[in-house]
Amino acid sequence: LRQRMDLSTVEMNYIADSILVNCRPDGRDNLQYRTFNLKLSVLPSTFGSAHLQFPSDGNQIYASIKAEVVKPLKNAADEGIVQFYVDSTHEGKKLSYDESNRCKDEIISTLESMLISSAGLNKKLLCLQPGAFCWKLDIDLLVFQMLSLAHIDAYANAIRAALADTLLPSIKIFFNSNTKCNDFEIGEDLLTISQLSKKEVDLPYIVTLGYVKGSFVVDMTQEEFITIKHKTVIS
Amino acid sequence: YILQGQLMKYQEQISLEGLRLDGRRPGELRKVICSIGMHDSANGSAICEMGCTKVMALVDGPKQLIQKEESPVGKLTCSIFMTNFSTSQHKDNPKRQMKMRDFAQVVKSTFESVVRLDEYRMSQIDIQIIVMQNDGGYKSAAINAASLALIDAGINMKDILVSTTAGFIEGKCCLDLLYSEEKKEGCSTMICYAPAKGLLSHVNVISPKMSTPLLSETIENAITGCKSLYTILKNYIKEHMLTKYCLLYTSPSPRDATLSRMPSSA
Repeated sequence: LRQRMDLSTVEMNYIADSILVNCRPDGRDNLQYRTFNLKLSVLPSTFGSAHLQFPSDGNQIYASIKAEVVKPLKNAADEGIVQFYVDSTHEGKKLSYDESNRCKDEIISTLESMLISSAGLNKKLLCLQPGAFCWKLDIDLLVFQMLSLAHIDAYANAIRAALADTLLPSIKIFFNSNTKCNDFEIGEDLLTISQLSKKEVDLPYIVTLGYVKGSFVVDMTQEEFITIKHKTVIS
Repeated sequence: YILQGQLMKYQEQISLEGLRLDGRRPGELRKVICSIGMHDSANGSAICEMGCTKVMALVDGPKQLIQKEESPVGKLTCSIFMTNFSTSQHKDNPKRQMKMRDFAQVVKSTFESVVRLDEYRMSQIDIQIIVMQNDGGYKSAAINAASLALIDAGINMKDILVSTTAGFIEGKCCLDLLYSEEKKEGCSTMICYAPAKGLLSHVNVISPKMSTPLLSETIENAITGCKSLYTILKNYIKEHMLTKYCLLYTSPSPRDATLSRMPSSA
């Protein structure tokens, strides 16, 4: 990950020392998260949405989920499709077009690998009829700050909240005699994803842990993220 | 917008009682909710929600303009950003940005007539508009949000710009069109109105054919709508200013009142 902010060695030492003393520059403990406000269902035309706001640094994240019924991919006939899109309003201010694209791809691939799995959001749950119909979820993130991997915890939280808020209509599949093939009809009930899959679906949390000389750090800011050399991302 | 009337199923736009698709009378505006100043990192920010249409505007500036030649007036830049989830169908970005550049030029020129750029020599003011939800009239909501954000940023303006759409549906002039109404009729007008001076700043007409008397009637109705919208926006601005800042009149004539920013007392 290329450094987007250049920190001098003095600043890095200051941050490292503050972590060892268990008092970070903004006053938090090492294992303390920032306070945030979370609002659900903020976007009316989406199936599920969440607005995550950090009052301390003014960062805002909108996560929205839109769904449509499509034909599944040929090599994964019994799975649904999930696609991530990440956008920032601060594009092009300091980074070049290639770098911002690379950053977006990194974030998307990290989110995909962490959240879509058999333990997380199982794509098989989105299948309506193998080989014929499945749900396609478009998960969008709109971030009001420069994109960075440091905030991936927050992105995952926003997506998790939006998924918990999602209500998908029930689909009935029947044989249409006019077109001589299977067709679907949108039912009247609205189901949450847990109800759709008939079992509890919980999206995993993502935690980025940093390690400095014996102390662990959680929920890092951008400066701390650059300073700390050893980081793991766990979902 | 091209009329797709032949292909679409016939749907009554105005029912027998005279109500539109969402239960409004023809001359009624949608519910307007504004939040001003929610974004700390930008100098000025505002969200304007007209019904389901939600548009956010961020204003950055005035900041230093790096330019070789000296210009007597400041520079106003505008960028529009449309999210993937703004319309009912999910769309990817690239195609939209081409259309957005035209609208950005429109917004820029509209606000250049209102913002006192001669007081901001060698400075640049950036307006960034983010369309989050488009349920018809996103251009109007964008201009309203940008006006509010400029006020929040404390930019010197001659007047506030208020905007709304209007069009003819089944022979009746309707205000504040929905997305389905815009698409169906293919005939809509958007006007930007400056209430204090009573002048029109910008008129945008999208119609295959509209006769001149109909057009003038549409514009008149739209101006009435803008006036009522102005009172709504004024209340929001007053509320915001009184809760956060103190009002300060720096000019002798109250008409050219400049709303300056004072540090918020704890």
